[in-house]
Amino acid sequence: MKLKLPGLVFGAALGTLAAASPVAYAHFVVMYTPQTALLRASDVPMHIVFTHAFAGGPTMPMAKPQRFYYVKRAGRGEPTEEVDLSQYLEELQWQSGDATVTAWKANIPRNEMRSLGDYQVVVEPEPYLEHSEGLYIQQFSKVMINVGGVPGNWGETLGLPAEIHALNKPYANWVGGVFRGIVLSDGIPVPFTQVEVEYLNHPLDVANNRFDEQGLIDPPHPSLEAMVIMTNELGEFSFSMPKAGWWGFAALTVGPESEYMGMPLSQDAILWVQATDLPE
Amino acid sequence: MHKASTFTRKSASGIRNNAVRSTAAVLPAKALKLFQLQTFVVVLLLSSLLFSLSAQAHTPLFDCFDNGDATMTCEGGFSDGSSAAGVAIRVVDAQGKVLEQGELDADGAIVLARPAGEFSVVFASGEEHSLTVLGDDII
Repeated sequence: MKLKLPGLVFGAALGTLAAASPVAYAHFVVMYTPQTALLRASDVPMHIVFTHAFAGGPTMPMAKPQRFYYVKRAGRGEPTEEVDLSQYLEELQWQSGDATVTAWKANIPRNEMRSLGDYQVVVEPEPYLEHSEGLYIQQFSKVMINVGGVPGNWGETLGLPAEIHALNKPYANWVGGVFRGIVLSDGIPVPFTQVEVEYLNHPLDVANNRFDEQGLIDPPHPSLEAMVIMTNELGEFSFSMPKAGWWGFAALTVGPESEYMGMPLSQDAILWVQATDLPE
Repeated sequence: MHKASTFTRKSASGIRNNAVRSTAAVLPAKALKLFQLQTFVVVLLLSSLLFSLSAQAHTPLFDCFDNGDATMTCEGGFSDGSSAAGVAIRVVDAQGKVLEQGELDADGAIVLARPAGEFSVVFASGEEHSLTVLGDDII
């Protein structure tokens, strides 16, 4: 009986953890801009849509983000600079099936992002109530843009409650290259946690505020749609991207807060990575 | 509000220190001295190799923007992240006459008066690292 006790305690602990941490799969705050590796400064159009990335829907309504900003370092040894971009947010109606839901776009003017270097663009959304799963979801989402090829703060942690720390430049990856990152909860690596990997399979039709109906990949098995990988004991993960386009990485329920408005809260970390074909 | 930190650097130095400590514990003093000398030479050789590799691998990068007040800001850097501070910047007219010159500051930037007429701005970091932005492209 004594020998069984540790196992029972472990099992009970795991059960408690599972009960306290409901997870909503396949949701992604998409932060889409056509190109993240810019040769010269230009206006940066961005669409922010809360959806199921691989399937291209259903898309969920998204309240105005709590915060929308970028973090940049002007020069070596300089402190990082945080620039609020919320003034550029415009509400729009995004097609989801036969209905439309609220999504956002922003045309970030060239003057805001004209200096050479890296821009870590961040969306901190309002928690979203997923009725069907009985929990709130809040995804701290990042995409990185580089102007002119001068590297900057791409490899720095911002200190978000839930964050994916890039170990490769997210804007500089050949198809087939391995992308690596570390999942952080309030800056602390999270070992053995799930990371969902989804390809942005339905290109954005920004003229009509919808995703293309036709997907780019027709997967032969459900496990190849929302792929799930695990971090190692150091909280690191790696993934080789087999196709050009956008790959979303989502670490679920890793943030420190687990309750919002009396209901479970999943604080997730999202990072978007662009894979580029080798020139012919 | 969010304090930035370089997470990976801390991890790397921690691993290196542990490795040195465990080696020192099993070597006698004389062998340790020799080992340290050899390590120093190897590190020196590796450092110079890395330095020369990085010197070959970095690409100069340069661009200028119009500030809308008869001035322009020019910025330079290198693809490997090394600083372009101190690099000479020259504004030249169509005949190659130098109208203005200066050096990039610690952030790799300089503010210059925008001349009238045809001109270009030259980033002059050695012969292999010279770049020119035409005035017409500075918007």
